[in-house]
Amino acid sequence: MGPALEPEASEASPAASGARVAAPYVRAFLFITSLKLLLVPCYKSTDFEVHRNWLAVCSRPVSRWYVDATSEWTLDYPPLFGWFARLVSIAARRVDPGMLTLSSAPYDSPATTTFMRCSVIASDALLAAGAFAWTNGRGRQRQRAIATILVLLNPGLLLVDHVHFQYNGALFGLLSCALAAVRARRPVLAAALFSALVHAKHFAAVAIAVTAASFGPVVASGTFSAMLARLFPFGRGLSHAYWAPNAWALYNFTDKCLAAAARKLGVGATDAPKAHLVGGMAGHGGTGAQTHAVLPTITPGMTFALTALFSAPALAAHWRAALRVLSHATLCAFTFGWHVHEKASLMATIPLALALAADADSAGRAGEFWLLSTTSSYALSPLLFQPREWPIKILVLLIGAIVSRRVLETVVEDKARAEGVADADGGGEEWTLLRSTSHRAYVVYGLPALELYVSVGHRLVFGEDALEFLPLMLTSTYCAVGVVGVFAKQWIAYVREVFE
Amino acid sequence: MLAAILASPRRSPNGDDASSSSSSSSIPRGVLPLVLGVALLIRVATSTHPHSGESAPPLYGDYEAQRHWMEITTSLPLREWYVHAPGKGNDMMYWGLDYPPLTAYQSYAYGKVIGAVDPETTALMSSRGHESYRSKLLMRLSVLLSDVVFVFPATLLFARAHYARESPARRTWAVALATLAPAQILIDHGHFQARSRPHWFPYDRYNGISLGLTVYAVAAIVADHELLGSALFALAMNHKQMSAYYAPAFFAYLLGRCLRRERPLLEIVKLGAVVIGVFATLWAPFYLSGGAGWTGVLTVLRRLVPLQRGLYEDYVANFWCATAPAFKWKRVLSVPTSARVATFATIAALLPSALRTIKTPTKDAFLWCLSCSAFAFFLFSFQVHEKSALLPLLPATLLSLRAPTLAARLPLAVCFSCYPLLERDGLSLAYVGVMGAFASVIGGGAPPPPSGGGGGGGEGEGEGERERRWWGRVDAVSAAAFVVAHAAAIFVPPPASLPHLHALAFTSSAFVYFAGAAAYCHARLWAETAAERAASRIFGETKERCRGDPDVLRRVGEKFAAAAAAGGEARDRRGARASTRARRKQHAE
Repeated sequence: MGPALEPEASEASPAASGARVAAPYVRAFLFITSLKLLLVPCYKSTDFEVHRNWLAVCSRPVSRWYVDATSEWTLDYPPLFGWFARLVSIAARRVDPGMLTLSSAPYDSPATTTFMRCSVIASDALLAAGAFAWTNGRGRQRQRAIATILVLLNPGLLLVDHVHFQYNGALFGLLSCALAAVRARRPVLAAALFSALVHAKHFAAVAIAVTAASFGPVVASGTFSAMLARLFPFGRGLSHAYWAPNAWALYNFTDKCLAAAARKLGVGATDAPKAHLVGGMAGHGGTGAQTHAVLPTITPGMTFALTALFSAPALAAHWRAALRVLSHATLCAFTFGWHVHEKASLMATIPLALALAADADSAGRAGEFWLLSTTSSYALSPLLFQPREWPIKILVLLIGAIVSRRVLETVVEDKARAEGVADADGGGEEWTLLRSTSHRAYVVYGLPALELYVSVGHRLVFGEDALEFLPLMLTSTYCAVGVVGVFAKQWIAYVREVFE
Repeated sequence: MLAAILASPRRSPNGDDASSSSSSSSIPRGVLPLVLGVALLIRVATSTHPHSGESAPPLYGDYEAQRHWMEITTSLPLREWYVHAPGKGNDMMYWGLDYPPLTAYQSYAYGKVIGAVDPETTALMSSRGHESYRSKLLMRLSVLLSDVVFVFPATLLFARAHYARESPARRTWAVALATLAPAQILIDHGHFQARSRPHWFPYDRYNGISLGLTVYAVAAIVADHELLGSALFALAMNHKQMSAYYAPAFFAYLLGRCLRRERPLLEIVKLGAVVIGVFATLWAPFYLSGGAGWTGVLTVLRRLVPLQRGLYEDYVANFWCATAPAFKWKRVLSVPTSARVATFATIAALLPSALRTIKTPTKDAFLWCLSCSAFAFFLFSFQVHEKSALLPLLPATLLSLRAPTLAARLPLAVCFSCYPLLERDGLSLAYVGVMGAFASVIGGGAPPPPSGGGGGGGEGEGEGERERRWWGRVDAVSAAAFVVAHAAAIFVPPPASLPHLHALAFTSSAFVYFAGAAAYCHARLWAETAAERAASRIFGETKERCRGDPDVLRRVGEKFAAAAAAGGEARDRRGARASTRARRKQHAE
């Protein structure tokens, strides 16, 4: 569902006032908001209690934010989020004061659930505003429609924020607002300016000023080192309990297979206990340090180095297409980062979606985007493991995949038309990935087959409660193939550009 | 929003807009499955509401009646389904079965399947109040399945049959409107609880089945499969007795059609035989089972007619309830008298539209008559429940391409009229969500018909310029009433002497809207039949005069142009439609 992919000629008619042009966008926002309201009673993860506790902590004086440890869910987001939570807590006090109690035991009530869900829904107004601003301007309805469908109606974001429970929408809203602000000042050099924001002096000064305003009170209260320890969790393992579908999922999987093979053959590796297989995978929260049985154990330093190494070509090749590079860099960090969460893939897909909406040059990325967003959205599905939410999750993912594919096809068609290619169906670089049979088979046949095994087949083969880690591991590994494949393709393209 | 998607250009391989070359016969691929996917998603999401407050003994809540019927039908022999026998586990005071046999058979079929998966759900006696996560999931799934099997395909078939000449974009919009209409979603999929109900409350789900069967029947009839249509409608009547709201319209249209055939009596006998056959098949088991004979049939019948109840309970947006503050019906009339008065009023209200349809049985007239007849029952009949507003609503949603404004507003008005009920059940949030989703998808109106086609009528077919101005005023007033009623319910506590003031405000304003909608349906029925009569008169005359004349089409057109110029704006439109119809008939000859 989405707003107009109207022919832009319609703007020439005098009747197309500003309000009328924005109407489909407003309706799309109203639609997705209604859907979010309907999802309020759905299953919510422990992240709900985490955020509830942060709300309680942040309603206290700043000096206690990064020190308080009444609950095990201590604040591990930067202070700006703390300020946001503080704002929400003002309204929370009026709805249910119990919400703001500091306790180690979880607190919940119907009013609390509705209020906190609604706070996520309301904060998504920032996302809507960001996507709107990013595509603001004359003759940009088409771009706006694309941004709406790929960002505002993003299935991954919907499932993570409005079922699982997080505030990612607001954060991406901030990102797109910032991008739009940069572009509004110098529309022609928008992309270049964004690079400048990070690298140039006076923009860095602005960035530092913002940082100082946000971090200042925390530093002043003498809890800066406590905050740093919370923000960068090197105490945890290489992978999250449920492996994010990244390079390390493949690495872990290979390690498991090699270890199993070694045990079968009786070659060495006697120190790899069998329980290790389950311990690393089943359930949430088992985040102890992780060692590998056969392959070398990965250290935080190595993940940093790999991330830097693999993102270097892209940064060197493209100063201009900043968003695409940003997306590639976050994908790189996702692929090789330490203790990456599966939800972090949104950091790569959303900027790429904004890039696709913004300029025709990104059309070449349409196929990559579809593969990446479909795969990484599907990789989020184990988060919602309750049977009641199963149809919701499947429908959202299915509708999302189909709608985004249609939109991406129009993006590519537009590009082909703009370049005056007579035969839009005929191929061209843009179509190769979107039309590739192997990629399509990977998504269209592979993912449903995987889902069939995970939701039905596994239980039939092994019975209830047996080998619980296996479906999760298969999901991670299968999705990692797609995600790492997209990364590798982008990386090779950037390497080529550097050497050309 | 949907209109905008449907309007997006489809490009043919050579890069041209396909819409500009071939009268926009194509729409973006896969929109129809997406519409149904969204309709399903909204239903699933609604079924999660509300997440707290499971019901308490002794009557429990959440599907208890439906579950209990599955328990009874799968555990007891058929002859005891409707018999009050507390010793055997069938206590009529505890959600006794009070729907016709098809509902009982459906309970049996679903009960067998659910019992196979989760036997505790349907165990006799011991399952009372059984509410496990799994049983609720299964029950919700069964409601969902009913909509997928009955509502969705029936709506698609209807759209294909009745709107065959319309563009795919408009047909898709019509399907979206009918499948996303919020009232049935809330009532079937929302999580109703019985705590606040008197024990006799018609605990209702699976409206999708009887409404779906009705749509199947309508689809068959507009596709000229009249015998099949009457059989399907007989099934609908045997699922929920409320389907009888439509019976006068079915009767009037089919009778009118039969009277215009060569051997009317034979046609009538054929239809009657089909209907009686369906009824006999469904009721025979109760006659045969255990040699019960007619007493078995009468036991069931007695359960279906709740004459012991009053003229109205709670607050319903119908005539009796809305006028009650001014005229205390319950104090003046005894229960039997009020039943007779209500029946008389209902017949008086439905008679004009039925007679009109018998005289001029066109397909559009049939659909308008369905709405008129259901409105007559809803507004005037005895013992009406809030959710019976679903019945007049259904034909209005089917007529979405003839009266787009009514079809887009009436579903919201029905929800509004049920709000006091929904709020009590903790469905306020779902109410906002479902209505918002409907309004955003349907908002923006139907896609315009392709210009230049011979489809008769311009943009917004069936609604003239004046009519649209009227709708603008009605929208403004009703939106204001909507906001005021909700704001008052939230911010202004009712006075202690009138605790139900808000409920009354909701239902009374909804009654005004429904009365207006009923009048509108009648007006449209009259306009439709008048146009048809004019068309057939002129068709007859011209056929008589210009037999074999190749110039006939041109002359008919001129005649109409002259007639229309004299007839003012509204008649101009109808005249044009009549002219098209006459031309089509001529063409078919």
